[in-house]
Amino acid sequence: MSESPSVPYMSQQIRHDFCWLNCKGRVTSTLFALFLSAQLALLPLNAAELVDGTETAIHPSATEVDAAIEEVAITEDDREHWALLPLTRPEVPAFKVAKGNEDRVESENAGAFQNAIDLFIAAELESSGLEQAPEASRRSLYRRLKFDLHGVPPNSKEVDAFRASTDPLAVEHLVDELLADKQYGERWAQHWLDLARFAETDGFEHDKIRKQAWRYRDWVIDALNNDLPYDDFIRAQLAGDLVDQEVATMFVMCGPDMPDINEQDLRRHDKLNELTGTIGSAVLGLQFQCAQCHDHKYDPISQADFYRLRAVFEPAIPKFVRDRHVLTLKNQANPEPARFYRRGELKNKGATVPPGVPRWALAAGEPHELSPNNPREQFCNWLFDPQNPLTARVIANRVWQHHFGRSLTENPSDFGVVAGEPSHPKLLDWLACELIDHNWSLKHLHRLILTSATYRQSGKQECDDIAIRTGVDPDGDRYSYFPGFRLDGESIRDAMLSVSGLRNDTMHGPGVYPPLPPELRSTLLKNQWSESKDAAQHYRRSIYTFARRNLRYPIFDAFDRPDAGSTCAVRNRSTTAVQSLYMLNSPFTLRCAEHLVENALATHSKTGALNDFPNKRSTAASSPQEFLFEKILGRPASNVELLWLKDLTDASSPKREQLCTLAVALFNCNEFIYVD
Amino acid sequence: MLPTSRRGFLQAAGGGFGSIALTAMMSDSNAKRVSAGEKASSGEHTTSGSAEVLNSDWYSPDRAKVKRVIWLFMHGGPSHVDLFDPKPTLTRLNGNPIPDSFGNVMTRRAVAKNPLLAPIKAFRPRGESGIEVSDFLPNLAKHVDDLCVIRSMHGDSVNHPQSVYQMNTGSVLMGRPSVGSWVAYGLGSENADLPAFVVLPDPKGGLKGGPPAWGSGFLPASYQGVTMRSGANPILHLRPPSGFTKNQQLDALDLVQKMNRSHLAQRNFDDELNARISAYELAFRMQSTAPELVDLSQESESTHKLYGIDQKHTSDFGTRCLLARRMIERGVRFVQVYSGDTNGWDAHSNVLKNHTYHCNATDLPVAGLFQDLKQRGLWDETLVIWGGEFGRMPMSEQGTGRDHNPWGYCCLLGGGGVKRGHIHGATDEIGLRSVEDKVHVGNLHATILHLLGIDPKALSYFHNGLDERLIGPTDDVEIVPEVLA
Repeated sequence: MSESPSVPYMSQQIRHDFCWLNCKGRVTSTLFALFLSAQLALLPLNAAELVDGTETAIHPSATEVDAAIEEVAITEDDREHWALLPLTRPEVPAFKVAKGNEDRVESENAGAFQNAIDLFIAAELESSGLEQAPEASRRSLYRRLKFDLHGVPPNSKEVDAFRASTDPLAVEHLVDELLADKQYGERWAQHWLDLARFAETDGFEHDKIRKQAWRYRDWVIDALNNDLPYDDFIRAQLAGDLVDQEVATMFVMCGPDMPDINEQDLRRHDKLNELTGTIGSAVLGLQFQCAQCHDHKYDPISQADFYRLRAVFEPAIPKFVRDRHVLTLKNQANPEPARFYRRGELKNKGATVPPGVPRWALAAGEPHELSPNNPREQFCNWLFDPQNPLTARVIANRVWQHHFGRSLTENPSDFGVVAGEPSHPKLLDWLACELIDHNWSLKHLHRLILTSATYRQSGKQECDDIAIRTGVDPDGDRYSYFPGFRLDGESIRDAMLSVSGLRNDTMHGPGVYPPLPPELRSTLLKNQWSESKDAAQHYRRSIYTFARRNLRYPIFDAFDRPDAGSTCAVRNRSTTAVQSLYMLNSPFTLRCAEHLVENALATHSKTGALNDFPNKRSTAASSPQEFLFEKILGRPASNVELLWLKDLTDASSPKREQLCTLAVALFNCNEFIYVD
Repeated sequence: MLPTSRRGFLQAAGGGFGSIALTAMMSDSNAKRVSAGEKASSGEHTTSGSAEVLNSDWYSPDRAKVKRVIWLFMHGGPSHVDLFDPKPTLTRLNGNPIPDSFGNVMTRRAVAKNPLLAPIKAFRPRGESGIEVSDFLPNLAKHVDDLCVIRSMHGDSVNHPQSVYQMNTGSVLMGRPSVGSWVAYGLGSENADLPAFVVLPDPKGGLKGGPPAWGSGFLPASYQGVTMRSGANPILHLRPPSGFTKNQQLDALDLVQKMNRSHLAQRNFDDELNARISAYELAFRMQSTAPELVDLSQESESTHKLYGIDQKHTSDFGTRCLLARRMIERGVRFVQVYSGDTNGWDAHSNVLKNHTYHCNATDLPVAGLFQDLKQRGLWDETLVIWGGEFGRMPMSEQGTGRDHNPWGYCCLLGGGGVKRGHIHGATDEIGLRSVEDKVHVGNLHATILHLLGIDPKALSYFHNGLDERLIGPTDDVEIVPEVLA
């Protein structure tokens, strides 16, 4: 907060600000007026007035159209903004021993540093008088890693083996193993799909299905699993059509669309502006869309910068035809020259603009224009040019964000001047350099972060001195303990499928339709949700649930899945009664509980009763109650908890209903949906 | 009253939608500020009753004329020229093409050159004000002396979903927060056991544009419209599924809360974890408050009759209007009642047939709601809105239908703080465009906020580097002072 401009400053500024989403609603009356007037060649001179009294120029004169675009030059001050400073590998801080702690360091902490990340974090922590927390228990660490990388909980055999391992590199080997598993891509794809505002339908009135959209989702899963270098990952999505990777370019086109709109030129114009803003935000971490109507008011991004970036993609977008989807890019023969649009309005055409990159991100004197031949290839070259500091910073920060549930910057998609400096600027640069120096391998970055002592720290419940730590570091933003995270709706569902034994691990393919409550189905048009006939499909992982833009699947909706209306970098994390009602009362919860209880009764009804003397019980779950507890929460019940279980169920021969009650209850525990 | 838990589950009840949202927001890295309404509503308020917001950046009790809003949304676009905006010239020009003097007009279905179509039914002056209302709505017409008819509404799109989004969120694009969610955010909840913003969709089908119309956009999800239905299951997953008894649920909740409290204690009393404990308490209470809310057997026979619940054709909309009244009585801030399935009032081929059906279904219930609000003393503290996402063209379509018209149409306001028996603004001679004292959708939104005591220019939420507002970034969106009493 302290880095942000004061509130009065903000509201004063905003008065002049035409930001894309807002101004659409505000200026389109003018836009339509102009459209009506200009659309028909035979328009009477006063047509605009007739339409809604707007008096703006209808036919810009030739001089106006071709008038040179004036834009404010980028200053040296502008270039000194942290995000645009040249990226150089920062020196790793030397570890300084706090006075009086010399002995401790030698005996305990010196070996706790795993890699440079820890030294950057320790250097920042030093001023607070804190040191990093000791390593989390093996059980907590496994659960954390498994949910982080796969979005599902580990099974007890895996955890036991990890706990028993004496290998000094056990964590490193586990991380490698998890990163090599296909579930990694199935989990991490969702982070990218949020940024891509991915859905498999159009939105708006008809919300029609895009039959091939799932291929892009699968492409992302596979790209991540294959550790496709991030530069190739982006190149494919922005220009894959040039190298036989057309499906990847759905990234550019997968936002909302209204194919049946009357004004197809307007549809294309809106689409171009939307995709330009999305690329700026997702790849460059700059809020470009603000500049479609007006120069950006905080950041030195001019309206011309916006339309030059748009011009990179414009030649690959065909003329739109009513009711036809355009889902991939393809260079058009003889494309119309790209233009500047005053106030962002289609019928307020300005001069033609060449494709170009944002001037802000260039050193003084470097040319910002790209040649009209293959502008997308050139743009991609620029994105991954060693001189470009933004691309690597943005993605390195996103990788960090999804491991720790918070990013190193205030807003991972806004590296502009309002957002303020990162909490750990040198660490961010170091991560970015590591990424570049390791051929843009995201898995390399994952490995570094996940094996760091910073990531391996204890969470709140395992820190003895947590009251002191949270006193200094209330939100864990200084990384003096592992901050923990709540599972998103997709992972909660996948976790329930996993522990209950229902999960169907089939990969890839068209989206599936698990049951939808009739109250919701009735609000849809016919055939918009045809439940998958093969029930096994209902238990596929969440990533394969059909992504309807106008109706998020209920559990995802309740747990803050974004609406795919625009790119989303950080999900909200709300806590609502609607979530509790779903977890308590949905047929899905009961289905998972019942399946798990069947399993418990089949394997444990004969093996033992809930022990009357919990202190003496053996380590392995011997009763169905303990089996359920360990399956769902991944740990044995404590003595007190065993008493609670006894309170709920008959100790020796628990009834099926009692076990169902128990399973439903355990699914509803905070412990089930939070990761320490 | 609430059933007593067998194991003291309810002992620690407290908080509500508001406080849950508050603590959630405090741990939400997206939210940079907590709304003043939240601050106020999360404080010391008890189980129900009012939690007046005393101070905030945008709320002022002196300005507040009403406490709550009931928005009767006529989905599909009711025909203003056939209901509230009589046009003798249109009658005179019936069958003729639109005069050249009106210029070109953009339409959805290329009807610009079609012959004009006279109003379908007769208009008559009503009440002391003499405001003309057509014979389509004889019951609603009886209340016209207490209503303000805005005849100069205009919006920006000839398409349903864009106009549905604009009327609900201020933007023709998908994904912005709806008016109701802004109000929920701005004022907080008045009742700890019920959401601040409730939507009663038409059970026959969804609207064009879908649930994003009542979504919360970038505002936290706790502010989005909660859809409720009449009958046994007013809220999704409100009751245990078949095969799971109420007693099982009580036992489960008992263990959940024990486990959660112990989990919380081991984690230094984290706000978010605490909020989730409250969320379970609220969920539990909602299981009784929500069915009680929708239990219309508590209402007298004469009330049922008043709303037309005793008649087949008015039963559904009447039930939902009565639910709306019961909700605002219990402190729900913002209730939207939708009339019209996926097609609704979208009378492309036959206005008479379409509007006869929809007016028959809604006219008596709407009048009943107005009368009931008045006789219960609720009228003066409630803002009632009647309108669609746009109106309809004076030209015909397929002979007896009409196409969409966002360029000029009507919206009715009633209740506290609004002029009575008043007409504001006008369309041109044939009802094509708003021409006099024009009211843009944004102006309507600003006026709604103003009546609730919210300064529309001050109500904001920090998102992606900007103070986002319902009325958009520019300060030229004014309220409509002429409609205020």
